Amino acid sequence: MNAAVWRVEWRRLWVRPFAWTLAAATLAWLGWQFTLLLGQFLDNQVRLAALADGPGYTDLVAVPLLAQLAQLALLVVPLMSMQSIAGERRHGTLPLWFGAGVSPTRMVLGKYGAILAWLMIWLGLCLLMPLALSGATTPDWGKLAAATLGLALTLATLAAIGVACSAFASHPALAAAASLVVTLMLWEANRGAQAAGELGGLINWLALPSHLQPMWRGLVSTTDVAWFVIVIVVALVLAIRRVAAERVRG
Amino acid sequence: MGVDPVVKTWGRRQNAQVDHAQPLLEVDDVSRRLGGRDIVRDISFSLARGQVMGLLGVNGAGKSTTLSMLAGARTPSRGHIRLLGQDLNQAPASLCRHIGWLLEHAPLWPELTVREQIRARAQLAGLRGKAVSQAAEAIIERLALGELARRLTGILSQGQRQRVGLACALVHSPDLLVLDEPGNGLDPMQTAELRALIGERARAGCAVILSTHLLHEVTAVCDRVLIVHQGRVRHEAPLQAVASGWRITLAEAASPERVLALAPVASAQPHQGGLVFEITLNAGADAPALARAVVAAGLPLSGLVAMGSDLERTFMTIAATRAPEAA
Repeated sequence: MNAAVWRVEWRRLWVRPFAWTLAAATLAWLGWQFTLLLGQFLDNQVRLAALADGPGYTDLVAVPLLAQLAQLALLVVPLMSMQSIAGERRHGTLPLWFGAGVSPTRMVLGKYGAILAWLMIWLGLCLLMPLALSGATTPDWGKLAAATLGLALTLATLAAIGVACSAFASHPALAAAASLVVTLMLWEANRGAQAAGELGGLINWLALPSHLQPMWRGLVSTTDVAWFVIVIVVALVLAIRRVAAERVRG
Repeated sequence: MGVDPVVKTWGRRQNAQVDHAQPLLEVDDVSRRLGGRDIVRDISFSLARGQVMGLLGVNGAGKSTTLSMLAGARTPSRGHIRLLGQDLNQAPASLCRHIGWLLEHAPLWPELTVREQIRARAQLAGLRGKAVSQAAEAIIERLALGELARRLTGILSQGQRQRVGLACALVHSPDLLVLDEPGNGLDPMQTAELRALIGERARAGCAVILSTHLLHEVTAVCDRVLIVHQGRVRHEAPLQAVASGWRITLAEAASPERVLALAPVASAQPHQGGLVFEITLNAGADAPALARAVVAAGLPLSGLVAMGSDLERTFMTIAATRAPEAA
């Protein structure tokens, strides 16, 4: 990734009111959810303490909050990534990158890196809520770390899909819609199979939740991490090839 | 002190030895094919430091496509573009830093201010640290963009956008400046300032390619002209050679007196033993009148071509021609 591309793209993201309005609205929503989850946890604390292997603060507050963020990400990430390349195309600024000698690979990775940085800040701010009470509770750090890793990989995957859709779309709104459809397909791919009691096979492997849910339970496996990495690489390669073709075809 | 801040910041330019003999840019048989059609075909020329070349052509002639290939933004289907002796398509990242490109309608990132825009382009051109700020502030001062520096580029007028685009093209002090319709939206004062700036950059050793529809702009600032029509180079000459005149070719030799006796002819210079004449026309005369007079005088006319005539006449003659496949 080229640092100059990342810096330019980050600056453009930083000054966009849309990005911060989106962050403020979603964090306000998550703050409200955190309050509700915490209230429920406090209401049931005495009963839960009596259970030998009962769920704790991490299971009932921190991980469910991150799960809420994952669901919000289905909408937020396409909105954040839709402008990345389709917006350039719409404003006629794509040749500026090519004319500056920026290769399609550096351009796509720089843009992806900037979106990813924004999403990690978003995740970090959300994570601050459960961490703020870590002194007064006994979080399961391993489980929390695994859930955070799973969510970070999910955000990275959705961002890569968003950038790829933006590379193929002529208009940012089309990019967001396409990204949302692809994301929902990955999210819901195995719903029918699971309803039928099928827990294995290709359809379950394709579904994103099959690889995220184990991490929410604190289980990190290389096959799950590999799934995220494969999807990210495929999406970014497609985006790079599309941008490269645009430079050749014009 | 009256020192150009751009030149002051980039001292190497001030001391640059302008070598007109050594080509900075070499374009060899460059073509670009799109949708089964040649948009640009077999374009060749070279440009030395300090030269200002005007690129002329009607709409759709292939000027912008040619310029975007010269700027490294598009790849040629065939041929080679060499800048500073290196192939532009083999090493676009390092070579593009030597090019400043102003696109037609100056596309800008709308969410950035003018200052941020210029700084961003400086960063993409490879400047780092304090050099980014110094270069940006110098070009803001040189182009008098101080009042606009904090405005978002998305709300600028066309003329203002054009000036910001020019600043972005110049911020890294390029060796080759590619300007596509730079006068769009500029008022007469700004146009005069643009001319001065082009001359200044050329004197500092920068090669400039200027595409425009305004022929008087070309005659005012360029020392060479390249006319492109239907994707091909139809005319290339130093501007001083673009003098009023026509060349007639006869099937049989004739005496200069017979040619001089023709009504439209003011002067006639014989070549090849009277087979070819370079002719200057009288005021008000044109090529059809000359052709009619030659034929009426019984001279066996086999060819009549513009020797450039004046630039406008040359341009109009070329623009009026149609390629065989289009006819």
